[in-house]
Order: sequence, then structure tokens, then C-alpha cells
Amino acid sequence: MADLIDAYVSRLRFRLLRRLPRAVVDDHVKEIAGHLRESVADRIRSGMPEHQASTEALRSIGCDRLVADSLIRARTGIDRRTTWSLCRIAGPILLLYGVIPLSFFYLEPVPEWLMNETNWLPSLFVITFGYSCWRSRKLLIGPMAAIAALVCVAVLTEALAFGPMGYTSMSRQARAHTIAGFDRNIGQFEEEIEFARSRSWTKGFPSCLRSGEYFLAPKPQTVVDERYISGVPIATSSSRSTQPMLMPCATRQEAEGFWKRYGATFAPIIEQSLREAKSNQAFWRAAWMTPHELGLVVWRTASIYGLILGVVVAINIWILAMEAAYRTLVARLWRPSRLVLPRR
Amino acid sequence: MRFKSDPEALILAALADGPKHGYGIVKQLKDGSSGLFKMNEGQLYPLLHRMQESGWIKGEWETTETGPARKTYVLTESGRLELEKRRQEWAKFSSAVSGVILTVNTDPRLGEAQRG
Repeated sequence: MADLIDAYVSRLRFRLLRRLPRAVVDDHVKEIAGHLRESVADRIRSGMPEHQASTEALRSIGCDRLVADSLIRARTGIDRRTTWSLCRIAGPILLLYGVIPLSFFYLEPVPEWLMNETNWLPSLFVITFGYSCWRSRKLLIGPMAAIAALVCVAVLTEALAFGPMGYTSMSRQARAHTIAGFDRNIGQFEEEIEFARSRSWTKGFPSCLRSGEYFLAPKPQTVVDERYISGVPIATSSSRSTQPMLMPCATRQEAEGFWKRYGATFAPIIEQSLREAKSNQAFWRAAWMTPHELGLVVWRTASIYGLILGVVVAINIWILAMEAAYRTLVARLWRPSRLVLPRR
Repeated sequence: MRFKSDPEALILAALADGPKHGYGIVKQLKDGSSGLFKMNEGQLYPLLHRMQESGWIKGEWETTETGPARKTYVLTESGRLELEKRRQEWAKFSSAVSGVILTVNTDPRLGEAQRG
């Protein structure tokens, strides 16, 4: 009946080798094998048949999977509570990533450094959760999904309560602020169009076309159709167009010269911007989150965080698979020595 | 009995009278408690590891004449102090529980009979 004990010890060793260093596994397995041998011998001395003694000894120590899990937890310090506590590091990071953009509505002007500095948050989230999964040796789908759901709820609550398309008084204020912005833009566009079509410059240079010390005027520019590949701008020659764009001029005379030359061709461009601004203004005047739009917001928010979750899960699967493959290879290559029970 | 046991204190007490290996600890607990404590042997070794990490016990491999080497555990000085502390806590706890369970009379009929 040494076969029963051998098989148990072999399975225990295999489970432990996939998670723990070899020296530690050897120590534990040798100790437990000795324990089982003594337990069986003790039972045989008390008059029990050998097969029953082996079976009872194994029943007494417990299933090899549970014993291995207990030993792994004792060695690595990871159990259900600690997996959640490890996720506490990544949780606030994901929360920041979801909440910081919301605060942009209330920070004016938005500091550019703040927007740039938050770009690394998703990477940090992936790294932190990857580390948590590696430490616990399992995919932490529950904690990740819970945190992602929490952020989704925060984003949606903000959208409904404080966003410009929400249902509260703060949303109405945000909407009014947006509409006021469009009103200003429309006024400027109308002033620019009048200036562009005017043949007399006696009214003076409009203030909306001043930029500090400079005077804005339409200058022809070669526009290259730019495309981005992996975040790197790649200029293509597929389309090139020359169209006037507002550029700064050092003197008023220079600016007026450009307006006289390109004002008529530039006016339709301003008119197009005016039409878009009026269309947006009409939209925001009527803006109110309908159930369909709410569903779209929910879907988009859930999709974004689902995508992040998917990437994190994929990376963690890869990490755990690599480690499991390595340790399985180690376990398969090592052959346990045969145990011999003492003769009666 | 619904009071939870303290397996670490039991192991420390089992090692108080000399070094033992894992199976010896289990046997001592079972014999000392007249069969009441049947420790889950699978949980013993994680506990022993944690107690080693805490510095209460020390494990060493010993060669034997009759069979292969086995790991024996011995109580350290800090383990003895910890055992003493837990003995005092247990004495206080058991005294308090006994003071309530053994003396408070919950049966009013018995009280009347005693007064009568």
C-alpha cells in the first residue's frame, strides 16, 4: 500500500512545485511523507490492516489539493483577504483614471501638465494588477470587475448629476455655460465675416482677430494630410491642399494686406464654422439625456472599462501561463524517489 | 462546545515538554485531550511554518537509526514566553466563562425549589 502514499506525495509535490521553489517543496514533501509513514505504521501497530491504515492516514491528513493550497498560502501569505487588499493599490489608480477627467469640467483653465501626467495611469493600473495577480497566483477577475464597475457608476453618476446633459440644476448651469461659449464664438465669427467682406477698414481691426501683440490674418498654408501610426505622426502625400488659415502677423498693415488679398476666399471657411457653431448651439439648447442617449453613455463607459479589463486579464493570463508552464516543466522533469514502508 | 480553540497555543503546549515531530504533536494533542482534539493534520504544517516565521519554534532535520530523517520542532525562548502568555489568557477566559456558565441559574423552577 505504499503506492497510495507514493501517489499522494507525488500529487502534492506536483501541486507545490507549480507555485513554490524546489528547495521549499522538497522540505515540505519529505516532512509530510514522514508524517504519513509514521501515521500508517502507528495504525498497523494498533492492529489495523495495511490498506485501511493507508486510507485512514490519507483521510486524516486531507486532500492533497487542500494541503497544497494551505502550504502555498502559508508560504506566500496570499489568501482571499490579501488578494482583495492587494487590489486596493490598483483600485484607487483606476478610480483616479476615471475621475480625473471628470474634474476637468470644474478646473478652468485645465492645466496641460495635469492632462499629460494622467496618461501613464492606465499603464500603472495594468502593472499593479498584474503584480497582484502574480502574487496571488490567480486571476483577480472579481476584484477587477468590482473596481471597474465602481468607476463606471462614478462616471455615470457624474454625467447624470453634473455633466452638461444631466438632469440637475448643476447640469443646467453647465449647459448654459456651454451655450454661452457658442454664443461668443458665433459673435466672433459674424464679426470676422463682416471684416472679411468689408472693403473699408475704417472701423479698425476687430478685437477678436488680435492675439496679444499680433494681428491674425488668413495666410495660405500647405496642409499635409497627416496620419498617425502607433501614436507617431506620419506625413503622407496622398492629399495636399493650399488653403488660407489664420496666422499671426507682426503689423496691422501686413494683416490688412492679407485680408484684402484672401478675405473673400476665407469668408466661406468662417461661414462654415459659423454654421457648425449654430448647429452645436441648437443642439445644446435642446440637450437632454434621453433614455437612448443614456444607454449609449452606459455602453460607451462600460466598453472603455471592459476594454481595459480585457487587456489586463489578457496580460495576466499570459504572465500566469508562462509561470505555470515553467513550473510544470520543472515538476515533470523531476522524478520522486520511491518510499518504502517499514516492515512489521 | 462552541468556543474556538487556539491551535497555536495547543502546539506550543505540546512542545513544552520536549522536541517532537509533526505526527508526534498530533498524537500528543489527541492523547492529552482524551480524543477531543483531532487536529486537521493537513493544517498542521502551515501552522508550524507560520510559528517558525514568528520565531516561537525551531525546526531541524534529525537522522534516525530506524528510518529516514525527520523534522523535529523545539520551543524557543520567545515561544515559551508566548505559551506562558496564552496560558494566562486561557486561565482568565476559562475562569470568566466558568463564573457565568457554572453559577448562573437559568431555570426559575429550580430557584423556587432551592428557596423552598
